[in-house]
Amino acid sequence: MERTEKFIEELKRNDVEVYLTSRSSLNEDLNEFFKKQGIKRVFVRPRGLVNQLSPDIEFTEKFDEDVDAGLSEADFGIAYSGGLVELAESPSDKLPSLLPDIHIALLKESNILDDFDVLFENIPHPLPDITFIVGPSKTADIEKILVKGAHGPRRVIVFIVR
Amino acid sequence: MKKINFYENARKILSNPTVVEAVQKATMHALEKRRQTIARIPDFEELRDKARTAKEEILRDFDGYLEKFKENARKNGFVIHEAGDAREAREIILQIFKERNVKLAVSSKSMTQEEIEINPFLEAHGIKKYETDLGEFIIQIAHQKPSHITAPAIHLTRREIARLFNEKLGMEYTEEPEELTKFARNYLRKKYFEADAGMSGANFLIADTGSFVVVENEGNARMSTTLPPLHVAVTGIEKLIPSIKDLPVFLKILAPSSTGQHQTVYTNIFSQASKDHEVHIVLIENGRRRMLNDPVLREALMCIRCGGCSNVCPIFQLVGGHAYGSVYSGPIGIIWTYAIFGPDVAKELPFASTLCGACYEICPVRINIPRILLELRRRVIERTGGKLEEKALVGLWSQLMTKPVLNKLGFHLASKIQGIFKKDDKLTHLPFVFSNWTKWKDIEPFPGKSFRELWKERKNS
Repeated sequence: MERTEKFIEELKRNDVEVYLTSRSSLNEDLNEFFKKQGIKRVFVRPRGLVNQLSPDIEFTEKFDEDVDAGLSEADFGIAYSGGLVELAESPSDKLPSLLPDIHIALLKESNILDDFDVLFENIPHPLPDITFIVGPSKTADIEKILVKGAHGPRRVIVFIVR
Repeated sequence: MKKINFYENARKILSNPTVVEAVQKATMHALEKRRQTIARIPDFEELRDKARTAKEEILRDFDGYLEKFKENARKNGFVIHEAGDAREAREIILQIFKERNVKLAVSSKSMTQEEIEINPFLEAHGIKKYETDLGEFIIQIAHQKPSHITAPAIHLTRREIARLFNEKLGMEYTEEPEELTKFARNYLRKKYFEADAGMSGANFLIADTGSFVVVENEGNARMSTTLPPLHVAVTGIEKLIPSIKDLPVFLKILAPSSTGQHQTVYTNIFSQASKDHEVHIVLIENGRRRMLNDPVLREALMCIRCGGCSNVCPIFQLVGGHAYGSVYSGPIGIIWTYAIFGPDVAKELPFASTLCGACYEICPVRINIPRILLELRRRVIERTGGKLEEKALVGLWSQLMTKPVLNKLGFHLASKIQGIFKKDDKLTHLPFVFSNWTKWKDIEPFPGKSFRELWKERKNS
């Protein structure tokens, strides 16, 4: 699909690592990813696709020093910016994509939107808190030299689920 | 505030080649990135027009939109405070903190907080507030002021930052930006968890949903507004936009105009509060209503604080933000400083411009900055009476131009006696009040024949 291609192109431009998968192979692909990356403990937002997984490793809803990565399902993707959209009902919903060094986001392909406009036209009211995430956190405050991993994640990985 | 000595500040900065070089590098970098990014946004000019239209709509019914924002924000559970000036704003924030026994606060970057000078005030009342944006954090431990709206520490080299971290924070000496960033990350991580309150500014206040928006790259604003149980956002009332449907347009022009990014890494739209996570918004007037009622200054209220006009300004590129002696620097900063801190403080600033128009050309909401600067010059001159040599010349000029006899006589006189002020066929040392001109530049001499004479000859031949 053209929209998905544009989205992936923008994600890559934003230094996001992209994997394409399907409903049936998501679980297996994720477990393999955890194994390959040495990820043993994952801080999750237990909602949507995340709840349907059967991981080989430990999932936790509490953040601590031993967490290797954060996992959440993004509510939408924006092809225009290669951005992930997270809707949060409470501040704690925002933490898995924020606190760990690695953030893994799951995204249903059907939730990829062309542009921001579509999002704001379709979002339910009263509004939840909305966060757009465009790649790993970064700074260029020292001599304009780009450093990835400022206060948030150093790596962002997206699994697009067809 | 005392009168800002722009020329004195500029002279000091120009004697420091590292600062001049750093500012030049940073501004050029942002401009080049902007150019590349805009090439990928085919409808960029259209987006600028749409943003301008939305801001014009706000100015058309400012009070209506402000009321609408407040009403909707309260529905979201936000507590609204209104401060007429900086002192009131500081008292309000202190009161919020005192009632909740706040001892430690973390904050993301906010020029409005700088404007009301909240940090020393809180410190004096026993409340420690950490700046968490890397640039602001560096500035805070260096006890300096930001030198650029979006890149507060651009005037410092990595060597200076390394020394600072080593001396003030006990970090092992290294000039590696990556290591310095990591150190700041770990240092501030603890503070987010310990903090009793988080503070932020706001880039946009959305009237039809009562939401507010904070954009950032580092994740420090997300941390500051998520982890502590209390979030206090400090913002000027001019950040209003009519509808959340206008937000895409602004998000599409802000980052490209500012850092040259396509989008910032994080855009945070806040619309919720709860008992466990209070959200307070401190709306600051501090001179903005005066701007609103001023037919010339009001256009500056459309500013979205991208800093693009600073990057492109030939004066700013040379001297950087500190020369302006105010939290708001660069071309638009002159106007804001004049409006907020008054004409006596800012009387030198409107002249710190070449009026070349580059700021107008780059401004994403098309604020006619040179026109406003010109008007501010007029006002300053009206107040101070202007410079003696300018008055003398303009007076002489108007006499010579309106009276043909004087014109003829004056020209002949000038072309006869100019010889004694000439060197290498240029006027290099004019006398009396005119000497201030030739101190800095040479002037072309009067030609042998006047225009009137040449014209006559042409007609006769």
